[in-house]
Amino acid sequence: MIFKELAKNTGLDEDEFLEMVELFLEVGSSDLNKLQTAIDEENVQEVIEAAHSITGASGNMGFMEIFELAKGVEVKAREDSLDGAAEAVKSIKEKLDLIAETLR
Amino acid sequence: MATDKNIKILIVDDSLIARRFIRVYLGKMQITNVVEAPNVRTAFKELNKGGIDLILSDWSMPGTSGLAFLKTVRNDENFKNIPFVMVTAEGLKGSIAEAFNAGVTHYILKPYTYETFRKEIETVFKNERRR
Repeated sequence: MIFKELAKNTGLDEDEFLEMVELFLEVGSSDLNKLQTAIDEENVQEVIEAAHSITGASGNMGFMEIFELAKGVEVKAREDSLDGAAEAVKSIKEKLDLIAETLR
Repeated sequence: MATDKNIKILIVDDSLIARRFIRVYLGKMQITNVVEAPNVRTAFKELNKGGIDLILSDWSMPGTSGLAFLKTVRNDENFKNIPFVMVTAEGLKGSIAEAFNAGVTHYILKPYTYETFRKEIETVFKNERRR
């Protein structure tokens, strides 16, 4: 199972890691909603903050695809661009859904 | 700085996940006297309660940044000697230099594994013992 390997990488027991995955899904969904709203409102500062939060959490968890997507949004937003941000949100959402399905 | 397992550590990070990871990692190192703050305002409340031996702070937080926090701590007579470790994804050379100029004790780059984290914290303890 994929989580076993990720847990090993983080140095956590599998149970500890699974608890962290649940927390990550909760926080990640909330951050992703914030990110979507910020993009809709073209609020660059809030895009940076929400994307940064997702970057940090996914980096901790070792979910590197989500990390790269969120990092991309954050870096561009720091350059005052929201290009590709909406697509990235969609991809991140798909990946969160996949993690949630795997957890079940 | 006391470097036994009883040292009291303040974790400052707006991310609940990041704080939880640090707490779990410190627990694995048998360090359990840990307090958390999601922002700098709360961090100062914890500092004012006293007894903090080490600060582990994020850099990029909404409101006051970790760098501004570091500068305030270093200018505060009560807290200026507390070792301050920046745990951050800000890996740019300029940022690292800025933190060192402001008096950061050590720098841990995110994302990190448990092994990296443990080694970095042990380095901090070792360096502090030499002081």
